[in-house]
Amino acid sequence: MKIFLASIILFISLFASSQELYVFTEPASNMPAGSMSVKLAGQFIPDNKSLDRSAQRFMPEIMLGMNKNLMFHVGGSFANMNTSHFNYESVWFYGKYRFLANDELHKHFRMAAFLNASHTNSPFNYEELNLRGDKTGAEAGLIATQLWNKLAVSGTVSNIQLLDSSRFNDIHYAPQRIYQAMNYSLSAGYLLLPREYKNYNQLNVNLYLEVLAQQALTQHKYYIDLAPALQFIFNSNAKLNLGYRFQTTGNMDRMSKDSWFISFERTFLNLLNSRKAKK
Amino acid sequence: MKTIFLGIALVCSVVAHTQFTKANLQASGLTCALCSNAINKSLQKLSFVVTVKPDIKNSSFDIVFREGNEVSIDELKNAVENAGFSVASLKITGNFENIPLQKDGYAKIGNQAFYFLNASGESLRGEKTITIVGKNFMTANTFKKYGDKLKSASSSSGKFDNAANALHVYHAIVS
Repeated sequence: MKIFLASIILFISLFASSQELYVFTEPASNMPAGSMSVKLAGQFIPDNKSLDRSAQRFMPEIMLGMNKNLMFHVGGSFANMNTSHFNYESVWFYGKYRFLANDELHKHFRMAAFLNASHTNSPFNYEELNLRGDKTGAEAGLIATQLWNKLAVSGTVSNIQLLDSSRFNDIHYAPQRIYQAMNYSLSAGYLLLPREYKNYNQLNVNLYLEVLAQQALTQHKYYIDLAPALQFIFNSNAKLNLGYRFQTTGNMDRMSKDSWFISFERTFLNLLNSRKAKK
Repeated sequence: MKTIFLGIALVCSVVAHTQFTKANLQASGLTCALCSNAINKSLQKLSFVVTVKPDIKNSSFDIVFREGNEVSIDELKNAVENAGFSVASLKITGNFENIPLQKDGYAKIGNQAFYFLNASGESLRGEKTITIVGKNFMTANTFKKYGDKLKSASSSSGKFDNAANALHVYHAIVS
């Protein structure tokens, strides 16, 4: 475990130039005030033993920057992961409040707090606590992001509480179910292109590596995933993300130990700001 | 409105024909083009701004102001902060029509009052560039170095207490 963490830190420190538009997590930075992003993500699980088939999940999401410190997301999922037929699965809300921002030239340290809540129609399967389609619950956490000129590293700590009705039902109580966990993540990104910034129309290509870990609070169950991802940014307003997430170690019962992610996000700036009248 | 404006102009003995023409603004807390574009678009939305020319590498923006429009320094700062970042430096160029800079005195330019830290009795005349100094217009590290000078200057709250008008006071130095 210690060798693993040390090698991850070494790997991250080798990244020369970096961005913090992570694919699997959120940075402590906020969206510009008055901006809106529209995102469509897809998760694909290849044919595996526990599922006995391949499965897909589509997640549309809308993100709004309310002011420089506060943003909200609302999203949903449609899938055939927990059910044999493809149908509506879940809805979620996410809010992030940036409470600290120390800015220097090409540097910053930011911290934010976030709340996440989701409700799913999926049956309670597997031990993994996932609030993006699998489980009903709430999550609260802290994010810290440090940008040093060419390296951005972000860490997240959060607590997940599942609110599935079985947890509060004395008759249907299932003691082997895991309802509480801690989530940890460490993310870093590397700017592959362009070599030199000339204008906003250049294609930006970023390489990310994220460590995503979960640890159950009531049982000795956990996983540590590695999630590399490739990101293309077009015209400084649209992102295409391609990611692959896989388990490196763990003993949690999960639908799949690996999955693929693809998402497209388009940002609209100054949407909620009314243009001031010209004299 | 015009009567009050003229009244204050008489009180402060300042001719109100000074015009800010352009500025260079450097932002802090960012490296990437997406971030720079958010600031760029935010600045372009200001009513008194004609053009914005970004330098992505240096996180700086060359802004040209609309002739005849009042330039609001607060709106420039808010445009950067609403985009999610901070102002590292703001240098404003203007055509000044003989503004006397008394030591420990305020100078009023347009609707904004300035306290010049390095004033010693000379006048602002012709095309000159002034740098706005203060907590929200410089990085935290730079502010620490300036701290003592700014503390000795009056009005740390930034408001010029005047019975007729409360004006926003900016601390500045002549470049």
